Amino acid sequence: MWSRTILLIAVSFCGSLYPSAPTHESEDVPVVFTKTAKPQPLFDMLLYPVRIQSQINATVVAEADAIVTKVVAPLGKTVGLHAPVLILKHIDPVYHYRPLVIPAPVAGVVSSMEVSQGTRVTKGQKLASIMDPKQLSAIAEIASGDLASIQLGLTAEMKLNGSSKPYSVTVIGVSPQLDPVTGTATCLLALENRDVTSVPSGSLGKVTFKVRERRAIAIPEHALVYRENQVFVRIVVNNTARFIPVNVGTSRGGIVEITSGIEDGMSVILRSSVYVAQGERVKVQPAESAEFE
Amino acid sequence: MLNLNKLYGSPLRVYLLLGALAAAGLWCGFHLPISLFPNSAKPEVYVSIAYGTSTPEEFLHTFGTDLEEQLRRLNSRGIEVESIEAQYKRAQAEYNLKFRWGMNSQNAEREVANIVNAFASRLPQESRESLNIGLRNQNAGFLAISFYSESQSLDSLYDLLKPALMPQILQVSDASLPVLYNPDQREIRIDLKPDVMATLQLVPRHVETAIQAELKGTTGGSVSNGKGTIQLEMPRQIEKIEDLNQVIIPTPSGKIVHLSDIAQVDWAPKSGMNEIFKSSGSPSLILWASPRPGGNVKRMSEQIIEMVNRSLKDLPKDIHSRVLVDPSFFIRSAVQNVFQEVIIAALLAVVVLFVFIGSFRNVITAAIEIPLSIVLAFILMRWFGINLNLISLVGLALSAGMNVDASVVVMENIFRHFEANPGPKDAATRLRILAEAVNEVRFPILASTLSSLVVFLPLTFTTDLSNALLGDLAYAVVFSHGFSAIVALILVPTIRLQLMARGTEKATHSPIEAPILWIERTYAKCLSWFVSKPAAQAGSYVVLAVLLAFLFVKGLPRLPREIVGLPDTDWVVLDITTEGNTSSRQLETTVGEVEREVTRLLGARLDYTFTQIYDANEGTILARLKDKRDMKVAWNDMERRFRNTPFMKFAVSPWNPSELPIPDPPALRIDVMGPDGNKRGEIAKDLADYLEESKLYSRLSTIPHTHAEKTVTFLPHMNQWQALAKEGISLRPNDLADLSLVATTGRQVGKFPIKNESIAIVLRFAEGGSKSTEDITSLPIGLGAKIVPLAALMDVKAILAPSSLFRLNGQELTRIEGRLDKAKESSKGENLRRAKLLIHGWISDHKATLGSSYFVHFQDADVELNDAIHQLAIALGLSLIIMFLVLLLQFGSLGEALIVLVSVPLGFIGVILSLWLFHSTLSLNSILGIILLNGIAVANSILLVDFGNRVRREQGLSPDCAVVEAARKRLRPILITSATTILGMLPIALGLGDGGKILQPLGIAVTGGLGVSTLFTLFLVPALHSLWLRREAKVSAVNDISSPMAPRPSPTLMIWILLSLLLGSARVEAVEAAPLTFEQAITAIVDRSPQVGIERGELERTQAKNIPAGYSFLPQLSLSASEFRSTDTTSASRSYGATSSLNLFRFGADLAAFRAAGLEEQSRTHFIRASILKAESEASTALFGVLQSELEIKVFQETSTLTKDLLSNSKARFQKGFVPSQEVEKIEIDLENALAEARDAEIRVQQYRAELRSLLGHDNISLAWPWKDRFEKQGVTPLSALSAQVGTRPDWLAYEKKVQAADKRVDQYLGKLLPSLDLNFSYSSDLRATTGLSGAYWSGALIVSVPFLDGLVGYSDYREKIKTKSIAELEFEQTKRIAAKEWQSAQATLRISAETARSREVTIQAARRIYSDNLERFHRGLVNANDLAVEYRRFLTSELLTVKGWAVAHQSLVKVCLSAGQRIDSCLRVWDQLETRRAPDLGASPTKPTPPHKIGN
Repeated sequence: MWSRTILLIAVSFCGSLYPSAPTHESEDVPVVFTKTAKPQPLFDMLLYPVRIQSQINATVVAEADAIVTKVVAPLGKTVGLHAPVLILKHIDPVYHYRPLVIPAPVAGVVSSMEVSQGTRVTKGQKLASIMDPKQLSAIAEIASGDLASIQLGLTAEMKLNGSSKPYSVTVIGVSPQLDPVTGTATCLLALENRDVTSVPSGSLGKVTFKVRERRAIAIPEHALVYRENQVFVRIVVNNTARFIPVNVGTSRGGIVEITSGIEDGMSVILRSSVYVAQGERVKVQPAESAEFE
Repeated sequence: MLNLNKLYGSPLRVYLLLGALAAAGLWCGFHLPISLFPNSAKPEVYVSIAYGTSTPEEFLHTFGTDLEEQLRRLNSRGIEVESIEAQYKRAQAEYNLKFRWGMNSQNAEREVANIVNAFASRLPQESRESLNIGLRNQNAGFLAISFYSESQSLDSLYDLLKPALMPQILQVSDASLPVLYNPDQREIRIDLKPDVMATLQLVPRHVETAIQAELKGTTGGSVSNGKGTIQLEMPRQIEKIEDLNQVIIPTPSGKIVHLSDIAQVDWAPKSGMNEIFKSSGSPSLILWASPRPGGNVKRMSEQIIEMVNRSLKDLPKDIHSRVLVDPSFFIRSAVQNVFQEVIIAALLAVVVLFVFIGSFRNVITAAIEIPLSIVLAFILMRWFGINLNLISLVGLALSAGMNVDASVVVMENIFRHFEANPGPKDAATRLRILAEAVNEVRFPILASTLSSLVVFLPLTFTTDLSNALLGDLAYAVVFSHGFSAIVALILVPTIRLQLMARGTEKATHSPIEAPILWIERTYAKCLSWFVSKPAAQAGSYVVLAVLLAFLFVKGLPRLPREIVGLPDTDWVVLDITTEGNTSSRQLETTVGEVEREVTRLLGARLDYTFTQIYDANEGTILARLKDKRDMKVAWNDMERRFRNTPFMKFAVSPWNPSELPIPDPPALRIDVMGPDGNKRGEIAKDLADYLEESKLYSRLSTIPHTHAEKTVTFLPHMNQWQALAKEGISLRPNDLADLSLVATTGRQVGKFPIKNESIAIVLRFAEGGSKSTEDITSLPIGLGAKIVPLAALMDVKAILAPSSLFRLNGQELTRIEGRLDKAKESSKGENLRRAKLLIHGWISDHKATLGSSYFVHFQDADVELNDAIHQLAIALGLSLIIMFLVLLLQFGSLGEALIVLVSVPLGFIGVILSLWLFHSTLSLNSILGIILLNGIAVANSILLVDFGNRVRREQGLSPDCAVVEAARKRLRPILITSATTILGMLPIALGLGDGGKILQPLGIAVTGGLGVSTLFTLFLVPALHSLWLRREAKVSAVNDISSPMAPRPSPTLMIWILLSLLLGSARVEAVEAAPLTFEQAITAIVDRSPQVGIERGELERTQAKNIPAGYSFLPQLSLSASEFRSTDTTSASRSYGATSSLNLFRFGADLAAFRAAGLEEQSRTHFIRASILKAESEASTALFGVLQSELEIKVFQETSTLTKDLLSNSKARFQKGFVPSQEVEKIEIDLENALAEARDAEIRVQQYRAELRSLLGHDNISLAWPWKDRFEKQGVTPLSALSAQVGTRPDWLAYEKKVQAADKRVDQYLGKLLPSLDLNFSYSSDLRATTGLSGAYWSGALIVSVPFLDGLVGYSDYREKIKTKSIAELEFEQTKRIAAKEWQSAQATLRISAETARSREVTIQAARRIYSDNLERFHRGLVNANDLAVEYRRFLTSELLTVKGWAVAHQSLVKVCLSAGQRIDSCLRVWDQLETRRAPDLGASPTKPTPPHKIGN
């Protein structure tokens, strides 16, 4: 899992900030802790709040002015298609010859019941809603700037608030229109896991899109040296410290991408026992050896 | 005058009197507060204010600069603030006000609090609540006791301990604010559920408003029912934490929810930045107490520890306590140590006495003086509020050695007198002889005591650091030594008389008499050899002079400098600063690792550690050693081990719980200045990294941290917010920032009282808040039915911004400070030199980066030390001068006074050599040692010279024999004095004990210096003296023949006169007229005014009087000496008169006089300013005259050239017969007139120049003004504008207010006036050497008078000054009015003449057109030459007029600039406008008209 790799690297680098067991070093030659530069998988992350909703969400309405005589399917009851949900009695005595049975328009679970026995309802009034908790999807509002990166079929990871369980989601639809009020376009995400029943519809979560996946060299941010508006990375060549000007890309979690300047296999100084000058002789102590534990 | 003689006869009275005094002294001694250092303060007050919801920049611009400005105004209220440092950090602003030495700490705090509290009303509520003002005393000792228990949590421990301990501890009067600190602090946390919030479209604002409304109780008024009043009130709805759950929150959609629906309310440990304290690893409660300013830290600690121990007995047994830091123990041991040294010094003095005197009884008689004068000194110490501290105790130790001298002299003289009158005597005779003996020495004893005290006097009047440190020492010596003279004159004779009555009146002999005699003989032999060998003498002088010069040039600057050595301590402090941590738990891990390393490194030497973590990036490990002696090794080891890395900085230092803010300056201090904080930080960081890489300094730091931190900015999408508003959604961009605040750090929305403590209520998001930028940008926000991310409404951008901003006295700067490891401190100077080279190189390499607005400045880091050393050097110089004057008074001969002073440079040799040999330092103490040494060394050589003179006079020996004899006889007393002092100082010089460390340099300086000085003095002084006596014999022989009254011209004086003449003439030659700018010229003119010179001189004197206030208390000695020598060669008589007035006490009168002097200074300054104004106006008039006339000359020369052309033309035409002769004559007259006018102008130039010369001495004012080029480019000769700058004159109104304030103050002081004590003494000595007897008859009178009040004189002077001031003010007003008038008239002239010139230009064009038409027609033969000539003249005339018109306009422009004070640029703008408005076809310059067409060629 990428996030875990990133986390591991971040933790290990953060750990390397401070000497875990400082060793006695000789006073003249500074000790430097290095790491060999290797391209590693990198990506940009886009985080969005999502709301879970059921793909099936039906409303049961009164067909005529009537009084509720019986709630057949109370809240939470699973109903089949056309199964009776409510039984009403028409207000007009003309129709009293038979009860008015309100059937379920879809198969699902009664998610809200707004009337009870004896309630006087008018024609067209919403009585109950039925949804299918097994057919869930997620809605995210995507800011205009990120729309280009979100394509159909893109998979992403979703976590619901209050739980750490990851769900895998796929983009199945993006609205071609921006809402003028929010400046966002709605994006529909399909949940892939089978065990979605435990997810209540309407709950909020966060989805993480990973875009622009690539391989590049990344080093901890603290290994950068800023000199006169230029960014340098110190490397060791033949036990001598060198300052190499670099271009940096995006940074996340204390790890920064080096877009140019550092090549595969260079020995990068992560930290040093004292300040090190350009061309100074140093004693190398690889950071990997002790500090990955 | 007291009749002492009677007193000796009644011993009981003497004993009773002195016994009572001694009892009082003992009582005072036991009740003197004990502290480590003198009780002198240099307060630092800090103010910290949290920003609340605003950003640092916002806060700085809205409040920060204003507050700084208000704080700076303290200075104008007479409260001297040394510096105001302001640091705008990430979350709060911190202000640090450093006051001057001697400022009362509480006053300082109160003044600052007044200002800040008044200002606070402007601050937003959150900032107001966070406001914190306090006294910072980093050196003040504090008491820390930790409490921990295996079975109880910190919370329950706290609940148990607080009621048991704190009520009584709060009663301790010396403590300022004792607290029992529970690091596990709790808060009421409201964890909001973000999804529910979003669904309900709630933002934290809604919750905050609802909670705050419920937290308030409101009154419903009251009703009166006849019997009483009934109060109506609605109490606060929330009683318990659980009640918070029921707070009702209305949502925007109209629903009503309870807080429990959207959040969880918790009573939880405080989140985020937490202070952590651990003692030897286990978390503990800490009891902190620090002394209030002036409070006694030792007493405070003792009381609190006692209370804690008592209370713990009643509490459960598993509660442990540990005294982490106990300054009382430290102070006790340090002070005890020095007390032991005092006793050792006294004992050694007694031993020396015994060795030289012999009789035990006599030794006791003499030695009783030592404790007695110390005990008596306690009385005065209590009176003057001087503590028993390391410094004053050492003063007492010093005086112990000096004090026996007086009683030894008294005893010796008594013995001598009794030996001179052998045989049995009755009581009355004994008393008579004794009184005679004592009277004989009374004056010399008083005089010599006074002279040794006089040496210390300058010390008592130094200010700042040196006074704070050494003032007490000087006072202690003066008190104790002063009493020793009195005791010697009263008690010693009384005891002696009683002993005599028992028949013990013989002087006894030393137990080691034989060796001493042998030494005396050998010394005499060596000395007579030395005296008789001029070559050896000359050689040794040369060697010593070269040695002295070498030591001064090479040795002295290389000696390491320090302010004062500190007593040994067993505490090592390791400060740790990291970068980038976000929570204190992170640092805890790091510090834990470092602590483990410290434990490993110190090993068995370590007793325990005490860790403090203040915030996420700052922590301290205090390591306590088992043995103080390991300190040096431990310190070195730690410095070597913990070296700075780019991410972590360490500082190691020993820690002393002292009260005195002894400065600990860095070895290097550089300021980077420039407008932009970001760029400044970058420059400073580059420079600091560059220096780090050079490895010159082991610890470099920057203020503020240059570490740039990521800042995330929110930029709302405005069009979208408008769309939202249209939809009726009441969301504001601030709500989102607020949301982010709640989501990240949490927001405090109120306080709630629990168990008498107010607990913060903090709003936060559940799940520990957001951790990354992505988390924040994706915060859900409910908009209608949609849930959108925060990023949809705002642009979220991460930028790098400096973490904080530092302002020193209102100026933003970044400061780089470098420190050296202790082991490398000796190479400080060398490193600084190399660093300077490096940085100069760096600056020249980075010119492009620095540009013209960024600067790198070196600061003198040691400014306080250097000032102090400088001050002490002045004190040393003054004491030398006083000594010289006293010597002159005593010997009446310049030569002998100088011979006596030879011991001073000899002492210098010894001091520098020994300091260098023993690796000691040049510190305040070692300079004090030199001052002290001078007193003793000179006393020795006085004995030699004085006795030499006496022997020669009394025994009529040859000079050589006389000095050798005198030296042999005086060897013993000299050895006694030197040995007592050297031995007394030896424990200190060896650095035994704690006090030894502080005063080791002093001890080394005194022992080394005195040793060397005594050795050489014993040979050189007699040798020089014999030379002098030989020369004197010759001179007197010559004088006897010529004239008895002939004054002896002093060769030195002659050389001085010659030198000053030479220098004077050289200076006269040097005043050669170099070209001056206008400003310089004005300065020169002002300098030439004799009145200004006088006023300046007075001003300087006033300032000198005023600024180093102390020095005016110095004794003023005036001296007259005359010598009469009658023709009778056997008798000579001399008389000397001297008056000396010693203002011994600082009283109100003197203060009033200083205030008056201050006002005098102001009025003189104003007079000088008025003179400058006058000089300016005079000079500008003259200069303007010169410039105008020179311009006129040019115009008239131009005119005459033109006329000449016309004349030759006319002549030609006349010859051809075209014009009549009158025409030519007319033109000739014109020419003559033009030339005459030019000459007139020239005369005017000369007149103005003469005026300039009379003002300035020459007329060479160069016109090299910066705007000259610009003027010249525009065709304007450098008749540049001169700015009189009326606008920038002194603010008389402000001045008036100051005078009124001063008025009030002077009145106050007058109320406090007290008489100052004047001590007048005069003496004359009348020597009749006719008989061979020892015939020195002394008569002396000591008049103690209470003369009139100096202050009154100062006050009346001050009244005079007010008058002078108002006259000066009037003059200034007049000048201003005249200037304004001139400005108006010059402006009018400019306008009119420019108009005129422009209208004339129209004429010129017409004339030119007509002329050229005519010329053409003339060529075609249509016009005759006469008509053409007429047209040509018309053209010329109009051109001339235009030239003149422009010239006048131009002159007025100059005058405008001259008289008005407009800035030059604006003048130039006026000029530019005129230029553009002019007709385009005219020549570029009006002063250079186009030459007319030549005709006739």
